[in-house]
Amino acid sequence: MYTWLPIGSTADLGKLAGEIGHEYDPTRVAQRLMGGLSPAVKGVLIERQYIDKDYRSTYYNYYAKKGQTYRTDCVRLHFFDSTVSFDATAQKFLWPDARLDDHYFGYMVLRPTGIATIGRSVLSPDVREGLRAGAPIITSRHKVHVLGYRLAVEGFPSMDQHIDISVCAHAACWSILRHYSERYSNYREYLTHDITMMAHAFNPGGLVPSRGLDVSHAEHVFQEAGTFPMIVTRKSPRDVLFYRQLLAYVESGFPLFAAMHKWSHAVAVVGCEWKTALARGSTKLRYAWDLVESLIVVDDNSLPYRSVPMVGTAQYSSRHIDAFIVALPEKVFYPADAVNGLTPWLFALGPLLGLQPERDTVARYFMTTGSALRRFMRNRESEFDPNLMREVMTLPFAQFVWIIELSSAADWAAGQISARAVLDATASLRDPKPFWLFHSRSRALIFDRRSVGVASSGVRAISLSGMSATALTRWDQNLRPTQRK
Amino acid sequence: MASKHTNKKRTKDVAPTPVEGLTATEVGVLEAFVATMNDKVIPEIVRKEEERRVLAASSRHWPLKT
Repeated sequence: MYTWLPIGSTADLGKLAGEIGHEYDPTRVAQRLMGGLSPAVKGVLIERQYIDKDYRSTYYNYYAKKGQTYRTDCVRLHFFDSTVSFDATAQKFLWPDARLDDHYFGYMVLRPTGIATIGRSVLSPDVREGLRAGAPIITSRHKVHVLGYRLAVEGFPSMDQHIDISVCAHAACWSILRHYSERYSNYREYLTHDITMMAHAFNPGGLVPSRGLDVSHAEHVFQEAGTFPMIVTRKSPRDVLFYRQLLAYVESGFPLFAAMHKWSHAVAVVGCEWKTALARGSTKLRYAWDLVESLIVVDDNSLPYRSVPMVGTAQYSSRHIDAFIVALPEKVFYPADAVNGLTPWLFALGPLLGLQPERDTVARYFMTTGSALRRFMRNRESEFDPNLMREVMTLPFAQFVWIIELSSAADWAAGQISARAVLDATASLRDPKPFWLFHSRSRALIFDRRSVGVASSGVRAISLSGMSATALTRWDQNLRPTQRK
Repeated sequence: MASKHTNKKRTKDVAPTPVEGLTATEVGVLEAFVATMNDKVIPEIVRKEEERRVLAASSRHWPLKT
């Protein structure tokens, strides 16, 4: 049932073809792995007769009804580093320290469908060839049970489309919703067949799903899953507001369902790669989007975490993404385009806070929770005036807040900021002061949101001391930085 | 930049409400900001949101099948 395949070089992955039945199309799987896995993968455990819930959901509802006979079981591949070996007699792993998790890079299920056999997979971004170290990626912790061991891998779920009963849009919806169910306890798990059914108001029957979906079907899937989807569509190829919003939601930890009209294709956007150097001497306000080198996507036609540059000669570039759906939680009423509209006007408050010139500033905005903000500051108490800490700990935040960080070019290069505004994500679009807080290194404005209709009387200012020379760390907590192996 | 970000017309002849920790001049800056939000920023935010909804409607029927 279990076979250990030592990997001396990535070419050894080709030996999978001799170990796995043709119904799992091991040759194509090996080619996919050879083209995308880093040499850090030195051992593969092949687990046969694996019962996969997602494949079974399609088997019961589709493959079992066909004249051709399909197997009911799958094969699962587990990936390990060079320190792990396998004792075939005792059927156990051997490794040098206490934590097997540290040497585990995730798994890939192979379906017995002959074509498009790569099923539910969670691979660590750390072993994705071509991905830059430090690239922030949305991940969650996935538990894995094998041989009596309980392992865990940090990654984003992916699978190939089935082609006959699901297409790229189903795979992208499935990936995003599986991430939600693993990451957040208030979302339930949906299997592959569930996703195909959720796209329509009624059971379309037969092979209808394979004829494709449209964007509204994907929106319906996210609605059915209990999220509050919002579609954002690009106005023109030069519509920077579209891309700023896209980045803001990704940096908030929301994987995006991204559509490419030209290619009739959908992927999940799960991260980005920053430019390595920031040009100094800008004459206008810059946004975080201006500093993005490429987006990281989960595309059902390749291994996960594909780096998609802004322009390029590959099949598609980030510029081909012209619409996205963000599956928001309830209680987010102030969207990213409103935050974008407000951001340049923050400098009108510059005289009160001693803000640096707009032209020397990089603005970055993203959403998080009030609890995460408090945790972020608590873990960095030495960076803040105790009076500011007290204010943040006692402000009656709603669940979600928008953070706007302002950095000089020098701050940005050092991973620092010079000012941070905290906005109420439940604010109305017509709220003239959607703030909880706006602080620099020298002063903070505190906004009292417990009264409706008060003018400037709802505001207080406090002077901050001891922060002029401390590190004010840029917030990179929502996504996991890739650690290249 | 100050002239771009302030709305002197709205704040002219209006006595600023005292704000804890701010001087009267600084309160004027704050009230000018609120006036600018009401007169310029919020109408633009609302217009952009309407535009987003229209654009979203146009993309709802894009096919996705590859």
